[in-house]
Amino acid sequence: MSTQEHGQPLLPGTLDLLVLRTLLFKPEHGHGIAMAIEQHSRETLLVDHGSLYPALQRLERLKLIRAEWGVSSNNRRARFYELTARGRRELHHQVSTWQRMVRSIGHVLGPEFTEE
Amino acid sequence: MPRPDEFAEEVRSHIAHETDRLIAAGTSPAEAYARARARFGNVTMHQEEHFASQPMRAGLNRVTILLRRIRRAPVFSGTVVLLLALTFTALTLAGSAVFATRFRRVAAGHATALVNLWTLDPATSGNTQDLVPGDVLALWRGPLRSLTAITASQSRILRATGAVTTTYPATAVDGSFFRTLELRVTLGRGILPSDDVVGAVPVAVLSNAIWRHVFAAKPDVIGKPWHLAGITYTVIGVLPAEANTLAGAALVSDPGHFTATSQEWYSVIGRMAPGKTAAMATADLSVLTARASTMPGGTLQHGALLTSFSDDQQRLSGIATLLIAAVALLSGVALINILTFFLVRALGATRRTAISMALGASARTLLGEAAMEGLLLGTAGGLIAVAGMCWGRVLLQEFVSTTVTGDTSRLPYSVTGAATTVASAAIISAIVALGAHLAVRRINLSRHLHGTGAGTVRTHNHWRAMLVTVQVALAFVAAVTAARLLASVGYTSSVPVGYETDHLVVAQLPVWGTVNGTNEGANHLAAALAATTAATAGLGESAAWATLGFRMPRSAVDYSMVIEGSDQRIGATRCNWDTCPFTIHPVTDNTFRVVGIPLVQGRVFGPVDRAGDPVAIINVQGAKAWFAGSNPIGKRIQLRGADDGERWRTIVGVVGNVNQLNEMARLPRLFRKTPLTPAMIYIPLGQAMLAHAGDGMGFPFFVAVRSRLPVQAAVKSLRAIVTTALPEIERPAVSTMEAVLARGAVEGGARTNALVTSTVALILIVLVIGGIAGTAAESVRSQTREMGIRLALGCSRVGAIRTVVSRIARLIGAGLIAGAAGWQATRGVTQQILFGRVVPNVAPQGFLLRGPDRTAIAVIGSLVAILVVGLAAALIPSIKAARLDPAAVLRTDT
Repeated sequence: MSTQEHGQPLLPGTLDLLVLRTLLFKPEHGHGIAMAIEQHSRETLLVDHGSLYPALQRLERLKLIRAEWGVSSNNRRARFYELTARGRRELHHQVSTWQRMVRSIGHVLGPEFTEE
Repeated sequence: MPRPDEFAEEVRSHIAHETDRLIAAGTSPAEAYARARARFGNVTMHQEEHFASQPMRAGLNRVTILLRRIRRAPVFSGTVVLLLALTFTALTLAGSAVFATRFRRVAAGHATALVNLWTLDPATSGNTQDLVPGDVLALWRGPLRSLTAITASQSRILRATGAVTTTYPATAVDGSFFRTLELRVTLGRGILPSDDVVGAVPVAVLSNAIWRHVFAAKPDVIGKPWHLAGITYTVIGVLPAEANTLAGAALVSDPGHFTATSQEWYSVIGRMAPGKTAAMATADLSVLTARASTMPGGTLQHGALLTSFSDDQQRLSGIATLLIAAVALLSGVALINILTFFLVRALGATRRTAISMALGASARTLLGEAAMEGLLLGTAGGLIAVAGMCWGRVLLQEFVSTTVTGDTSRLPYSVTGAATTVASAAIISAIVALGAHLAVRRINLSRHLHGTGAGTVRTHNHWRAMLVTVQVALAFVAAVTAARLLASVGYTSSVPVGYETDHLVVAQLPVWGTVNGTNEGANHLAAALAATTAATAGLGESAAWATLGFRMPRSAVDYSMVIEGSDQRIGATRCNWDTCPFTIHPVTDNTFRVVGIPLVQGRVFGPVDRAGDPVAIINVQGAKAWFAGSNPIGKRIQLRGADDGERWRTIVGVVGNVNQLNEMARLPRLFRKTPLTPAMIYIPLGQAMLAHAGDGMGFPFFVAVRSRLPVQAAVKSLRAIVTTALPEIERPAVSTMEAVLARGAVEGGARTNALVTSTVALILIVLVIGGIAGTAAESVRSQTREMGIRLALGCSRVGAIRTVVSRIARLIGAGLIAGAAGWQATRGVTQQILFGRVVPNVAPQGFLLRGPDRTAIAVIGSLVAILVVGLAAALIPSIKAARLDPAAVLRTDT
């Protein structure tokens, strides 16, 4: 159940993009990734924690990210995910696609619906 | 990809991090942990999905997950395992029976060159195979180009003398039997031509079964005497196990018997000369047969017929075929049930499958998972089936040895057989599970996850409803049929004999031909026995009767009857037990009184009838069949037996029906093409056509007393009396009538047939009821999530249960209506197969005895049983689901 009392569930297909973006500057564990997405979206986008891991495993299988065990700031063992070179290229590609999509939708909606 | 244990640790780490965060935000630790768990969702499901998307290297973990999943659906799993066990027990039993008969080894060497030789019956225009008469055999033994060897044999009944009289079927063979068949022995030697000359010592070659069971498989049996009634055989050899069906208890010599040209009839086997064809042999033998018929006193037979010895040895009897078909039917029902279970289960698990696919599980992985689940359940079912075989093989051995006369030596269930059963169960179950999975995959799984879920759910409900309805309909038809089978068996087992058996002691005398050559002999014997019996204190009055007619199926006697004023001829030439519509019994005057057969109309025989005008008494069945609606007393009938000439017999009385007057009279056997209660004609012993009845094969003659003495004393006294009157009978068979009837039921296979039929019917009922229970339970279980939503939305527990159960109830109701319609449409055919077509005055030609009509009870019983079991199976899991916390229910996934 991804719908929460506040915030919005993610649009289908956007989780991969957000995960890749979150990992752009530093490796992070699963819980950290979920928290980062929520915080960076000002708690607008809420991640279904259980569904995050299938996405991480899918990205790992595609060699867009890699993982290794480490210790978190809470002093707990955690599996940290890191962007690969292929992941960076994929992120660049997906961001471009997303921006084109947003612009296109914005054109369709018209200036009266465009938030400046 | 993390390994399964790494993923489990990662999930724990995630929940711990979330718990830490919530505690830091001011939440209590317990509350923080609960909220972290809730936020993550169903941990078990995520772990299972992770494993499911793993390649096969995580096999052990996969099996663990599957076992857990199987355990979470106990009704489904238990029912599938039970059904598989029953199916494979039945299949193995049937397979073993087929193996023991159709594929058994033929004992003879170069068996393909062996042929059974027959003459053809002229009375039926050559349509009936017949044994070979002695005069024809003598001619056939002459030099023949097409056959290198020829041998004759005859069936015998050997009676072993001891504390208990035991009978053994055996085969008397001539001196060329072993050479012709190239039959080898396990111990000792075979019967040689020198054993077959007049004056030679009678010898016996024991069958392997009798050697093991009677002689404890002792190797020093060779040379030992074997005492049988009247004859002492010297044991000279032991046959191999595969020759059991060839010999009965033993192959025995009958010195000189086969060399004399007599009117005896023999089974004849020949060995084809190399390069010669069956057509050439048939031509050779036909010429000789024709020559015999032109000789003075020669037997009139037509031509010769050759049949393959191997094929005849391996032929399945009709009963065996029928029962194997019944087992196949059971297996079919069971497999349909299992398929339905897996389909319902796969439909219920559609969401889980969709999630697995979304997580990247390949189609191959999911197929492997479905197959593995089937494999695990099938293995469990197969193991239970093997345990069932430990009981079943006893039943099987009895069935095969008494019904299909197969080779029981290969029946003990081997390790290979057990492994085959388990492997077959596992593989078939896996295939069925795969099939169900593939069928459900045709539904667009992605729809289940995105957007139009309602449509998918509707599709699932539609499929599920259809499956349950069809299964209930099939179950209803099967249950009604099974109930009718059971009713028939019950009726057969409980049928009254028609007279009082208490204190009735009977001697069965093997009277060969006529007594002293004339029917007077029988009268004298009966009178002598009566006088001696009367003189024995306390023994009571003795009565005697015989059963004329068709004891030997190839008797050439005309057993037909004509009623005065009617052109209709009842019966036919060469009737046998299976086809003749009546039996004839010469009786002493007092038989009806002593045996206790009630007089219904007219009078019984008296002293005046011993030599007076020809008279007859018929039973109620005969009166009903031949004189329906009119009084038979005073009517005249003509028995077209040779020695009864053209005499018209006046019917003077009608007596009650008797079902088992002796062990050879019509036993209430299942699978016989005769009515349970035969029409009977009684004639005075003094007027009997006994001279004719002695066509070389004899007829059974019975002497009975109803004594007030203790049973053992009465048996002893009657035995002494019979031995005095007939000193040539060393140990006459004397016992209580109840023992005679019980032995007849066993020897006739009635008990085995009843046991097998009841077992088939009971298994059928268990299968269909079990099928309904499993499907209903699994169908409700797969709606657990829906129940959770209803409960979360405020529906009461009773309301949620009512909704789910009433849905199943409607489906069962629809299935019952469809089943009733299907049963109505097929009942005519089913009845005809099982009980035969009802034609007035003609015996039904079905396999079972009809008995009183219990259709209404069978229908109502099946209806109630299916309803009760189906609703109970739906109610139990729904109550269980309703007791759960709605949030927990929602987190679960089927």
